[in-house]
Amino acid sequence: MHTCADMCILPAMSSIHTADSPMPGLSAARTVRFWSDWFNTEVADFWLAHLPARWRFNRLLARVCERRPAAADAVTLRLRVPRRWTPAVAGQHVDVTVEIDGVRHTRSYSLSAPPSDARHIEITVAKVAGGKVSGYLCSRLQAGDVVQISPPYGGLRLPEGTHAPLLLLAAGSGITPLRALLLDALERGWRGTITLGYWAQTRQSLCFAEQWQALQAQHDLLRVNTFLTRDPSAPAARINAESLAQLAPDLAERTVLACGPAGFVDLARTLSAGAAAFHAEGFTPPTSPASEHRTVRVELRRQGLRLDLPTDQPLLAALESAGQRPAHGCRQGICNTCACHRISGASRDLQRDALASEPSTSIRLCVHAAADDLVLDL
Amino acid sequence: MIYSPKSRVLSPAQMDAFARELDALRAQTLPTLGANDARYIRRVYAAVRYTGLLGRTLLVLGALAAGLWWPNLFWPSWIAGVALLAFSKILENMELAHNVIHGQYDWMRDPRFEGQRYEWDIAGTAENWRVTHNFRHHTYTNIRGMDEDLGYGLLRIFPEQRWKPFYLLQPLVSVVFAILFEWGIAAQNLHLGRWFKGRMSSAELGRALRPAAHKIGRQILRDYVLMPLLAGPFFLSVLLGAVLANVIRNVWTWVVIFCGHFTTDVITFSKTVLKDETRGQWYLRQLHGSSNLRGGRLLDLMTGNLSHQIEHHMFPELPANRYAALGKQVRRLCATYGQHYNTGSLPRQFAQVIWRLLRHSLPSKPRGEVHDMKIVTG
Repeated sequence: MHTCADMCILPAMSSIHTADSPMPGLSAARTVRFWSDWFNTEVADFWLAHLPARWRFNRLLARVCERRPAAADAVTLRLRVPRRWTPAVAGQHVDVTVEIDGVRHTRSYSLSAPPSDARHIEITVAKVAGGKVSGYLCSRLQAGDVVQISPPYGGLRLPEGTHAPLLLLAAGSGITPLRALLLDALERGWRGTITLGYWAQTRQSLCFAEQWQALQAQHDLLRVNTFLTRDPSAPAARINAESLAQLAPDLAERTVLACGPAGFVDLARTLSAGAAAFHAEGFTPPTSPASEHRTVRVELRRQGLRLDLPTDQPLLAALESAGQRPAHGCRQGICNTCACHRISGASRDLQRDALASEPSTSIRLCVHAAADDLVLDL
Repeated sequence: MIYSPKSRVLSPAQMDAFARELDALRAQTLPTLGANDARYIRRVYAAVRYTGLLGRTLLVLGALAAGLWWPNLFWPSWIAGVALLAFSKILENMELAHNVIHGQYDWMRDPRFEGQRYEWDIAGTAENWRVTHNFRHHTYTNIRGMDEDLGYGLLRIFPEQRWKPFYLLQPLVSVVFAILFEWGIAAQNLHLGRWFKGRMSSAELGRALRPAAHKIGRQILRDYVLMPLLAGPFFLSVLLGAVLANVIRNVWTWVVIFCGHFTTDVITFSKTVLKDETRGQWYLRQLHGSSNLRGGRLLDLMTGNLSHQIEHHMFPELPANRYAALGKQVRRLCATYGQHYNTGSLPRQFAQVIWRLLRHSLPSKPRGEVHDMKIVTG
């Protein structure tokens, strides 16, 4: 999902995983596990880094082959992926990890085009105001640089076995997976009508602006409507029943695919109640540092448990009150025994009184409280 | 009452202020962690790998070349090989592993430097170390009956320990313990003593022993079987070289660790200090339970910055490469609050350790009541 949701957290996705843990069922990961019984694969990776090849035991590295602008503040990156990377399909996402000032950051980006071959993918990154990673990818990353990627996962799909008429609804960075699906459908010679409704804030933030015209000229069945909600001369309305009726009067026959911020997706879902089918992915911005105490949903990934825990006490104490017995030691942030991975979601560092939502980060449960729905590697 | 004979008695308010100043030091340091610290630990990692490989190569190829062609080459290559391998192991154990396992570099989010995952080049498992050291030693520092590092259940270092005739052998036992230090550490969390006394079943011991035995097996296989075999008929010199390198590492780590807690002015505590211990009291216990080594940057590197044992105990979660700078401020604070700051050259501190080991091998009595003090104000 989200090309440019720089600080987003990933809600309700079935296939979130940590960037460095081997994916279950992946043969390459099994190979790595086999070797790691015999030698330290991290040491092996240290030595492999001295070779020009990018083969590693514990990480997948991709080289940036090309970068080209997609909008005033967005860039499309073409990546060469390793041979053992699982081939991706349009609609899927990939986690990209880069190191900025000594700290590794991971963000999720959608493929913005169907993969041209098994070794290349394209992602489009829009610069977010104050966004560390999007800023780095848009401004500092150069062709030839190497980034770490995850195997592809999740995402939207075109309906199987039919050429149903499609209505694609995108808002902001939600355009990227839908563009990949749209191009994929056109490549396959889709026989149904395809209508894209694309909401962006301004003309500068409109991605692939020139391309939409050309595509419409080439394909009779394609219609693209863009809505600029902060256009200085004629600001468009947010998605509503009127715009939807205008886009697809035949809504009952359409398969609707929507992607954008959670609010947009919720609205699209309500408005598409009469459609033949509706599939969507939404993303949410990080919660604002809420001071009020509330209850959030904490998922313990390894145990497959979901618990409702309060935000006003350390996670360790909250988990224990809920009958869990996580490993722990000093209970005061000294010994690191209770450290575990926060796979996704936001927590508050009680020692620093700081909110943290970086995915796949080791946190000490005794000095962190939940700040929003969380997934923990417990 | 007083806490340390050489220090001023602090009122609860003064202790709170002392704690606030130290907490502020931590808070000032945390946001500044970044590219320099990451570069530092990566360089240490690289130095460990390069010197280790070079040392092993010199041992094996030196033995082969000397045996087959140039006998004069034997001693120079053997000595250089042993020295490099010992250096590599010391650097790995002290500056890399000990600090990484504390979680000091978890903020980098690099799995290679993650405290919960790191496994080190020593007989004992990192898993057991996290319990005996990170948790028990760092939480219950110098509390008799709780911090097993006080004599390791083998030595009598403080007069409060009950004297037994066995301690007459202490000078000899200490030397053997220093030479076999890594095996002592490996056995520390296995509680062999309880098994000997029949307080632990053999089945329980067996369960605890399995991961440790696995790790020990791998260490022996690599250092004492596979590497010597590479030298074919000249395996003996490689084997002896590997043994010596490990012994040099053992003795050095023993010296550094003993200097950190067993110098003359170091104080031990009874369990009663834990009752309602405030943050200020905790800091004072860490301060008066530790001692520093004065030296240059080489000493800092070779001791894994345990030359700043006091700072390490106050801020075990801060990267060790910051201790030297923090030390100046801690020392200034100690002067302001009239607290003794225990530091000295390596020969001076080590002489005090030797004296303790010799003195308390004979019956001795605590002098006065200063050692058992719970901090109360007058």
